[in-house]
Parts: sequence; C-alpha cells; structure tokens
Amino acid sequence: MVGGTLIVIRILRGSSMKKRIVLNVNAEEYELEIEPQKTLLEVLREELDLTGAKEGCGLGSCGACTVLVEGEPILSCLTLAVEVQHRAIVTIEGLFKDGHPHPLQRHFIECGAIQCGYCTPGMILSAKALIDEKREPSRTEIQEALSGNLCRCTGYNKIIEAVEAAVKE
Amino acid sequence: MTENTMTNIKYLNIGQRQPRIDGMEKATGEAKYTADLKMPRMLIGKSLGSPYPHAKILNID
Repeated sequence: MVGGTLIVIRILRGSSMKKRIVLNVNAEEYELEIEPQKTLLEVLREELDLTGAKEGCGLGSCGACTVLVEGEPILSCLTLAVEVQHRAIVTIEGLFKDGHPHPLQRHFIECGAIQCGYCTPGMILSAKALIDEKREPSRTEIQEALSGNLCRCTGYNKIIEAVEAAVKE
Repeated sequence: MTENTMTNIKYLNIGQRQPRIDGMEKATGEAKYTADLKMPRMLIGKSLGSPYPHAKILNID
C-alpha cells in the first residue's frame, strides 16, 4: 500500500502538466504556469524569488513557512499554490513598505528577538495576524498565537517581549 | 548605561544590548541563506531511495 502510494507520488512528481494560475502576493498579481502539485512555499521561493518564507521541516511542524492568506496565518509548505488563487497572500517581504519596516520588524530587532533569523519571518507574520485581529492581546494569547512557530536559538521570551512592545506602540 | 557596583564605572558597551548588524535583513526576509541562493547553471542534487533491498546500480540516466 505504502509502495503503491509512493509510485503514484513519483508519477505525479515526474509529470510536467502545467496549469496556469493567478496569485495575488503582497498586493501584486502574478500569472504563472506551474505544476499543480507545487506547494505555495515552492512557488513563492522558486518562481517569485520571495525567499523570506523558509522551509524548516517541510512537514508543517515548525512554522518557518508561515504566510498570511486573507490575514490568516497558514503553513505554505502544506498548501498547494492552486488552492489560494485570487486570495490576498502576504509574505514577510510585504511588511516592509515605502522604506519603513513594520513595527513588529523594528521591535524584533530592538528586543534582540532575532538570532539566526530562520524562524523570524514566520514569527512576525503569526504575530501580525494576532495583533491585526486583537488590538491588545494578553501574554497568554501571544504565546498561543506563536505556539506553531518553533525557535531553536533565542528562547521565546525576547520574541514575546518584542510582540508586546509592538502592541504597546 | 549600567553601573558596576564594585567600582562605579559606567560602561558604554559592556552590559548593553547591541543591535545586530544583520537584524534588518533578517526581519525583512532579505537575508540570503544557503537554501535561498540561486547561481547561474546551478545544479540541484536530491537523494533517491532504492525500491530494492539488495541490488546493483547498472546505470544512471
């Protein structure tokens, strides 16, 4: 059974039947021809060169690939690009506007919430989804909102402090 | 500035939080990690598991 599934996956991977899709990323429309089995993460990174979203585990465990779809944080490594056509996708690159970083980006830097930085884009986007929905989240709510994003360097305190500082602003 | 309680010396840098030199790049997604690099004529290697437990590789296409 498992072997059979693998063969099917290989056949699908090997096929190059492309599909024309339209993605709305950071308020820009992109018309692309992609293989329908491509994940949103693959399309963002490989086709659009938006490498801010990271592949940490590729299995939906680490949150490094988090992007926003209609304001909701989603795991782009588990989402097919064809699923999110014509929906407003925001990546970390979309938060830097007119030469100004988003308050979350500024406070992550100021609070020392960044070390290797691999989890940072996902962390910031999960935090953005939270504070866009809730103006004054509690510490517990911040912890809950970031619970899907793993960090292996800083520990989480500085990250939570950075979000709290951005909330206060 | 922090105060050294033993000597009352105030330090400009010791004990102070220093801004990361690559903080902005990392916070904005601009920072390039190895997996983000694209070079001209770059080759990509992948591992392929064998479906056979004991076999000889006769050729690779």
